[in-house]
Amino acid sequence: MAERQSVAASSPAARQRHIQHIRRGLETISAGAFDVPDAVGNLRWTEDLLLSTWEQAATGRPPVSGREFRVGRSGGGFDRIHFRFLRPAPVGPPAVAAGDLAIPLNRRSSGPRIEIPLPVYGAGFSFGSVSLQVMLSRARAAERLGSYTSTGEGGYPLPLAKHRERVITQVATGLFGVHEETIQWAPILEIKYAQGAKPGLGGHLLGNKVTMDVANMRGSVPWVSLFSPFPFHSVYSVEDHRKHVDWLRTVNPRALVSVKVSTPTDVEMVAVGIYHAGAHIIHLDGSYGGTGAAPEIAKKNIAMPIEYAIPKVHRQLLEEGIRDEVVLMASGGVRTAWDVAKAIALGADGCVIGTAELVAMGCTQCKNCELGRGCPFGLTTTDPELSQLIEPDWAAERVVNLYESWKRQWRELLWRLELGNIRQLRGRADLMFHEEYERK
Amino acid sequence: MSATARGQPKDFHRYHIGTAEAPPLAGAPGRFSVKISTVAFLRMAASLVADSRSLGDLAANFGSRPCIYGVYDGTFGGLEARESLCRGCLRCMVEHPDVARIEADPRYKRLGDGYWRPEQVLTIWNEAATGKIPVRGMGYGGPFKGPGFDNIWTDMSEIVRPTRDGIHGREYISTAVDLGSEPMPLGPEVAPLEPSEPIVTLPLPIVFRALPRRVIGSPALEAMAEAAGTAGTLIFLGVGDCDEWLGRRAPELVPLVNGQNWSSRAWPSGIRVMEWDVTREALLPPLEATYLLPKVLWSFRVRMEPGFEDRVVELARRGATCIRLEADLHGSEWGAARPRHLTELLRSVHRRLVAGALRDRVTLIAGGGIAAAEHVPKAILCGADLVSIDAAALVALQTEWQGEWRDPGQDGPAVPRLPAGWAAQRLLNLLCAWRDQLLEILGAMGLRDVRRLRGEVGRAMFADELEREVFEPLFGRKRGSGG
Repeated sequence: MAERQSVAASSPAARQRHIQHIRRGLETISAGAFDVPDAVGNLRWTEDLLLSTWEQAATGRPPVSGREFRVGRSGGGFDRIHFRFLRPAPVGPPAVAAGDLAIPLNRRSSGPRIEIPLPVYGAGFSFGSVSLQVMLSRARAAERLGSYTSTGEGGYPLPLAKHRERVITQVATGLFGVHEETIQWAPILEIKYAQGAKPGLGGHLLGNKVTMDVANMRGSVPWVSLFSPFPFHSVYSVEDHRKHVDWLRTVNPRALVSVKVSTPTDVEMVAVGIYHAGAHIIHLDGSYGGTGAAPEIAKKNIAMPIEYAIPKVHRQLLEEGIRDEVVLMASGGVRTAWDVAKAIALGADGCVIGTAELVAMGCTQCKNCELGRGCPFGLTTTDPELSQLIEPDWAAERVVNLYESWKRQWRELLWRLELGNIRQLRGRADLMFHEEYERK
Repeated sequence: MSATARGQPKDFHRYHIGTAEAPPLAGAPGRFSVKISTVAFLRMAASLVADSRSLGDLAANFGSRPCIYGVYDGTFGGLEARESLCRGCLRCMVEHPDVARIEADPRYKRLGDGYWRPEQVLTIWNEAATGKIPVRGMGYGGPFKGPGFDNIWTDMSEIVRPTRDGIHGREYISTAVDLGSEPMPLGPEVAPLEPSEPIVTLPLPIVFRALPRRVIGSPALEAMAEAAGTAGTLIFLGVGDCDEWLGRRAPELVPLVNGQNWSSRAWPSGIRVMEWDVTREALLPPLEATYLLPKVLWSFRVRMEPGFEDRVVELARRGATCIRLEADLHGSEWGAARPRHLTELLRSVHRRLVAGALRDRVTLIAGGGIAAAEHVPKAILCGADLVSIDAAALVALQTEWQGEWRDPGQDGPAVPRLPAGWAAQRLLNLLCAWRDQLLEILGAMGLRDVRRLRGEVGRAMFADELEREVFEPLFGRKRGSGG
């Protein structure tokens, strides 16, 4: 039998019905009374984390459903690290000023002074791995929040240019869609050496996602799988890396330069090299991060989780006396406001968030992004019909709501830790404990 | 070997394992179970009818269903849900939480045992069905770390990559390994060595270790032998289990003999490797065996039990060049009060051999508990040259078992009826998928030869060591670590 279409092209009414059902369903299921079956979630994104993220995306407030919204059940890393609070939870909203969640993105003495009012910005999702609607949703959310989102490596779709002040241009190994003008539009340029979900393997966009539009954007052939090579063919050494940074700064001297790397054994040496090449932001992407498609063996096994990499790099930068000249952003398995706070307490300045934004838009973590037409919820797909399930204004609202909820949680955390702002939390691992460890 | 004008040997061919679809046998459990409330479904259908203003509307509403994988493609949609097509996306449940409910299939949850997790079993089934590397979206969703192999992450390089784009076919990464010792110009006593034993080169670092015929049956054994022959690797098995096809399959068979069943009969000339079952009474085969089979490489089977390292060192000192180490089917040490995992056992014996300047004179084959593609590079990182797979091959053949199965001599599994050709293809697919995943790991590290990986713990990250280095300064001493 021919495959039926979940969203009939000929019927806008049927599509609208699906959209309404999905929106209503996300709220019904996350409301708390729903008996959640065991097929929902996994050890890292548990059913509680998924549903509480949906709840926050709907309400803009910390969950009241009673679900565990702070940690998962992976049995390690952030899930076993907790804060040692100095004050009990406040009854009302804590008195921490809004501006105190801000972090600078440039700690060097030169270059534009860019600050974001919350300690996160959006991770790169390429056009191809996600739809244009999702990219627009994230850009609109970034604009409202005063933060940033990244193009990923699939080029810069023109409708995104309207939000260019909030869009980071990623320059990855495939150089897909990287042009002088898209470099010049960007307030921040992100050189991607590696990605935590598939470290050392380059990118991979399966053929069924390479639609005409995607192929046009990338200058490739429709319906043919695309591999971003690994590594950059122009970078074989730290010296080459410096020339790479210089190239981008020559094309756009007004932009900050971020360098995204994965987490190998000697990640701290890599970080120091990035600093000396002139980058403003070191972006560490840990091994448990998200992706549109990656070999399972790579996601689980290659490179170290971010929880180890942050303290290693933070310590090394301190020892080298350069910690206050460079911004350290962390990603890869950062799921909640609490994960962000823990990453900062381990030594990061802030975090780069990808998957949680998709979850806010309705991702169920079913991991079928690469299969057939792509995401059944219209997120990680380029299918022209499925992608219509996401309306950018609705999705942007969900992302903004999620971060509004996170802001409340960070303010409460700071208050309970007796800190005046989030910058003071950086490197304060002494305010945390690990379930498996005991201090003398 | 002669060479062409371009410097490549004339008979050079890139190693390749032929894969073909070999779908699971009927009745295999899927991951998900689809539950539909008939009452709620009929109520939903009625509301669709009520909402439709025309026949066209009605057709569009009924034709547009909330599953893109075809679970509800039948005429009666949810009333005849095609559960096997469910991918667990939950779209139907999100759209209609009162009608549809997606649960984990209880049969799926029962797969495996305390060591073999259901997802490992299902992964092998998929690899055996397609021969492809499992690729999925989103991040890793499993435990942060775990015992044994789950205590290890492998390294990667940000920019240094000698192989460049090798994993995508543009440059060759070698997965070949040698059984036996390379001739060494000087012995440890700085004296010329005797001419070395034969060397057998395999194109991939995986061999089969067949469990006894009385446990797994003849068809499974024959499928393994056929797959080993096609892939150019070996199958280690009891001499009594291969007598009847020893003649026609000699190059891939490695008969295991011991002091009781060794005989100086006429062995087929094609045999490349024989295996001696090492016991306290008979460490080495009788001298007549080596005279009778001068071109045969002798492998020595050693159970990994307390003190096995001494036995391995002694064997190496007495000239053994290939030793096959066996842990139990869960990768644990035999007969120990606190059994060590294969990873620790390998690191221990590797260190002992290095300390005795013996490591390069002996090949170590490690087996027991190799349950996933990632275990191959991790075992090699810990000190093995190559691995043997046992229960994994049976899992590929859709064997299921009840309860814990640790001892290969136990009657554990129920091997299904194997269609001709299907079983060998499943095993070939598995070998191909595992080799390709090994290439991914090697490629990420920038290695172009699996032989370089042996014992390279600098290219591994052990959770315990990372935590000691990173977490102890931050959080204090690990509970229960003593001192």
